[in-house]
Amino acid sequence: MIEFDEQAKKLVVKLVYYGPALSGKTTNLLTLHDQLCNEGRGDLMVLDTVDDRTIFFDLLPLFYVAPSGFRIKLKVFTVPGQVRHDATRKAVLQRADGIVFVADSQKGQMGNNAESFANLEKNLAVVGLDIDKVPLVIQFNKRDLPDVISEDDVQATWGPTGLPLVMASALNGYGVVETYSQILTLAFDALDARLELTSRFGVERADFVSSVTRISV
Amino acid sequence: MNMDRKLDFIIGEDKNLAQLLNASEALMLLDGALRAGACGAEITDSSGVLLAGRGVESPHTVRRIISVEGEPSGTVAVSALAPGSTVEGIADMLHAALQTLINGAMKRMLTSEAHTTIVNQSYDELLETNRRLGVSEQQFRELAATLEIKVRERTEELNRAYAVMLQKEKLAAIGGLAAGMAHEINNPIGFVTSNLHTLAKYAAKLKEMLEFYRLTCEPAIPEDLARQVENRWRELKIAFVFTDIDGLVKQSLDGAERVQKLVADMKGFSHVDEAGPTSTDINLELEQTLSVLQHEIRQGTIINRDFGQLPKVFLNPSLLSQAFLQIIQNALQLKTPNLTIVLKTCQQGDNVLVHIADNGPGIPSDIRDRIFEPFFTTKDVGQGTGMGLTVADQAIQACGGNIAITCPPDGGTVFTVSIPTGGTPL
Repeated sequence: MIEFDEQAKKLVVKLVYYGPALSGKTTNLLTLHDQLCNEGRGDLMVLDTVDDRTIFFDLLPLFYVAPSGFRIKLKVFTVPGQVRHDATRKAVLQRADGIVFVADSQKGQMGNNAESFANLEKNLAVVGLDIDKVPLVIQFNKRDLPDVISEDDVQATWGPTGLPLVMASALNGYGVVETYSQILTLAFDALDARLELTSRFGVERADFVSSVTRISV
Repeated sequence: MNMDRKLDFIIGEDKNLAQLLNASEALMLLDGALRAGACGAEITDSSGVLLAGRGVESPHTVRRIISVEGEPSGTVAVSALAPGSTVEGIADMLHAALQTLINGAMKRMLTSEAHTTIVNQSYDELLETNRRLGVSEQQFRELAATLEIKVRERTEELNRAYAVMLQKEKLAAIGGLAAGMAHEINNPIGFVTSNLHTLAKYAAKLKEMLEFYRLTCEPAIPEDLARQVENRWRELKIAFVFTDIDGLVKQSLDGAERVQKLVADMKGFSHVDEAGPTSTDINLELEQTLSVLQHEIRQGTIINRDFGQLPKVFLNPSLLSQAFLQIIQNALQLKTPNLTIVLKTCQQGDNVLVHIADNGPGIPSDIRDRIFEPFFTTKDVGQGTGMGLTVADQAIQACGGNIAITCPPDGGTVFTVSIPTGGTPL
């Protein structure tokens, strides 16, 4: 987590959308920004880009106040997927509370997915996070495209890892909020185990998750 | 490399309103609000601390919440002399302008801080990579420089080890052969010696019987027959045969004895019955070596022995005899006329010295240092292996001693083998 101030009753949480270049991480954030209710939702900050490619990161901040008065600021980041921006990925990954790995479902992209996942493993170790402990959700994006790997194949490959799998099409807006609420739930549980958010600070998981995933009507 | 230390800025670190609000820019906006008709305008953070203010407050004040990343973080308050849409409009405009200002500042801060962090981190990683490359480059340079020398050293080591192994094999083969030969030769030589003694006794009996006949029967036989006997006696040179028999037998016995001694010396020389160090008589070793080399000593070669009183030395005698063999053999191969080899032993302090001197042409000083090198030879190709003196040197070193070479000005070469007595003579 980025910050935990017991006195000020405030927690700053970081979620990171990781994955190969052009797998749709920024699109996930854009869709989230569009679909989520703007109450407590900050502006989406898309940092300067070249040719529509992320070079630093994108940031979607959200804010939640528990009935007990405890405040949680949630910052959802993307990393730049291009190989050359590895230093930026490491910097963004620092102190992440949950990671969404956005894989590209297209058949030709499996090599890039594997390479990026290996890079995630390496960088997690570098920033001192344990891949077996950090909350992690796998999203297979671009399900709307014609030449994609079958869901059965995805299950066969990733099922044994026990990691939550979400099929999505960020461009068409499905699977995005589902992915987001899955990682939120896992991240909350991990934080609760460390900080006793519910018992000591009166923060209920259900209320927190439903509050920051509220869809605009 | 500790990444935690280097990443001192955490991307996403929370910023409060005071950090994000540029006071002079904010004041310009507040001044604008006053010019638009407000009598006062102020910005406070969430705990009520005044961040910027202009004009005076009035009862007709409207407030707008300033949010940072969705979190209510402060308030902008606009006061007017009268309520109405004007003050509401000014407040909305001021709020929107401030919000844009703050978002811009937020973005700029994020960008520049992230940039600085990443550049610093990348630079540190580059420095570290550069340092590691430098270290490995140094190692490779050193390796490259010493590789040739190391290869040469290892090759020499291998050559030496090979030569020693070869010599040991040779020694073992000679030993085995000597033991077998000794056994095979000793038996026939034994009965040859015994039979010769018996033959001498039988000859003596025959001689006595013949002389008995001559002395006692001669007067009794007719003169004609006696003359025939006398002629036959002379024809057969019986008188000479009588005198020669003893000489022949004695010579044969001497010969057989020499064969026996040679066999014993060969067996002793090869030390086939012994293993490891033992109490050794150095003079005896020299004698046995000479005996083994007997066939290589050419006609006219003079061997002078000048053996002193020596203590027995605890060492491996096969090594010693091997060394003596190589050095003496080397001297015997000289083509000097009237070749004279002098063997002298003496004790000097804690060492036994063995001088092996020849009257050959001597060794030129420029190659004197090289004669113990493996495969160094002055002989024609195929004539010498270049291993003889190497083996001698190694054998003496194994006994704890050393070999020195001197070439006296009046000619010849002296090999001086020096062997420590080990302090206590055994």
